[in-house]
Amino acid sequence: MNGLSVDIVARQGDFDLQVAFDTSAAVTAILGPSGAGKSLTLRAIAGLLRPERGRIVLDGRTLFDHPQKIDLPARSRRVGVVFQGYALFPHLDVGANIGFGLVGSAAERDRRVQELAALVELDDRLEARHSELSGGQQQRIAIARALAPRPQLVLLDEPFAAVDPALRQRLREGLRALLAREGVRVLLVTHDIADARALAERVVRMEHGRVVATGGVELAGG
Amino acid sequence: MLDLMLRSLLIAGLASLAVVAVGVPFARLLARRRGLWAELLSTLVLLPMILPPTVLGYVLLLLIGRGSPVGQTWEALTGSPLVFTPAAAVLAAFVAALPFLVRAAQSAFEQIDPHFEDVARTLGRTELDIFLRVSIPLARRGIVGGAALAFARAMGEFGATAMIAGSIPGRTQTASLAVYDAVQAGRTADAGLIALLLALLSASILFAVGRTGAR
Repeated sequence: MNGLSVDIVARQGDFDLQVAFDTSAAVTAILGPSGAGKSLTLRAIAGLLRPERGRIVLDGRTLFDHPQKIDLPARSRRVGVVFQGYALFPHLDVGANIGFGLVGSAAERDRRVQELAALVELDDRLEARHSELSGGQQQRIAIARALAPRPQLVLLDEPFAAVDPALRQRLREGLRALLAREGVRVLLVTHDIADARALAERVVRMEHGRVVATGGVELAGG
Repeated sequence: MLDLMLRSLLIAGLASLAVVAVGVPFARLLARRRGLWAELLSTLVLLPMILPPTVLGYVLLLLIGRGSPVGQTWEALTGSPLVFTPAAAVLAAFVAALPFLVRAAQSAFEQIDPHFEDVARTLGRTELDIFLRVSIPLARRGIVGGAALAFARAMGEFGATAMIAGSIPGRTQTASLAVYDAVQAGRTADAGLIALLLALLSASILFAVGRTGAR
């Protein structure tokens, strides 16, 4: 099947997660209040949290299958992640951050870093440290870093949580254009209806560790 | 005198290198593990910090003495006993200094936001690669600080060294032991000079390490 298929049961501490959804949309939003289990779902898909049971299949590739004892490590999943705080490596400059996941010759890596830096319009800041950059620029670097190794899926965890509301609208538009150009499948986790409406084609609504509805953007309400 | 200071430096330096090589990976392991085994290991490594040096020396003597399996293996391989050699002095300094690095490095590793290591995983990196390229650089200050303390402790090591390496002039005697011997023999001028050199040497190395680590 083309797309992402998730059907898992996971547990962390007292929290009990039971999530099932399928999507073949280019951009899917997991929408729900904080504490709904959105970020845990994202961690499970990325391979950073091991579910107790279930299956995760991405474009026909099994990432996790409990009965078959398949559990690809995060490094082999080809799933990129952009965390809420971006987690840009503070000891590396912009270029080294973007290129962190690249393999191959130095020339190849340089070319890909240049390409992505140009894509996020930061090709003149390759030697900057992230502390010298604005929140929006940091976000773009984190996205470029996730895209660099050509993942099959990119997970965005509350991409605008760290940005002030005035900037959000502009960043959403920028992000939408960027994702469309790179043509990568995206799963976006957000508590903000406006994010889902602006970016997603498909919405998965979560509450209390369960999926309560799946559908088009009309599910985002508003 | 120069010979004595150089020997002390060499013994403490080798012990510190071993402390870093063993202690840094070990600290990383302890920083991310919870549970009984991790707690027990952690306690075991920190034990030399609180044990009287004589007890530490006695335990080491039991472990590496001529009657012990380690001591016998060493003797079979090298043809001479391990106790009362410079190698034993390095071992004593290593065991005494290890907890200082492990404590500092472990707390530095624990303070790293786990998101950095998680992101690196999703970027296709192996755990070893992440350890070298993310964890160590981010914990660098703690590691350098811990290594400086460990070196200072190794330079000052006395009790355990006396018990397993002895104080053989020209062979296993370090500056800390030489001060004691000089005082015992009434050579107070010698004792004063060695003490002064030891203090200056240790302080300047700590100072240099501190400057590098702060950058």
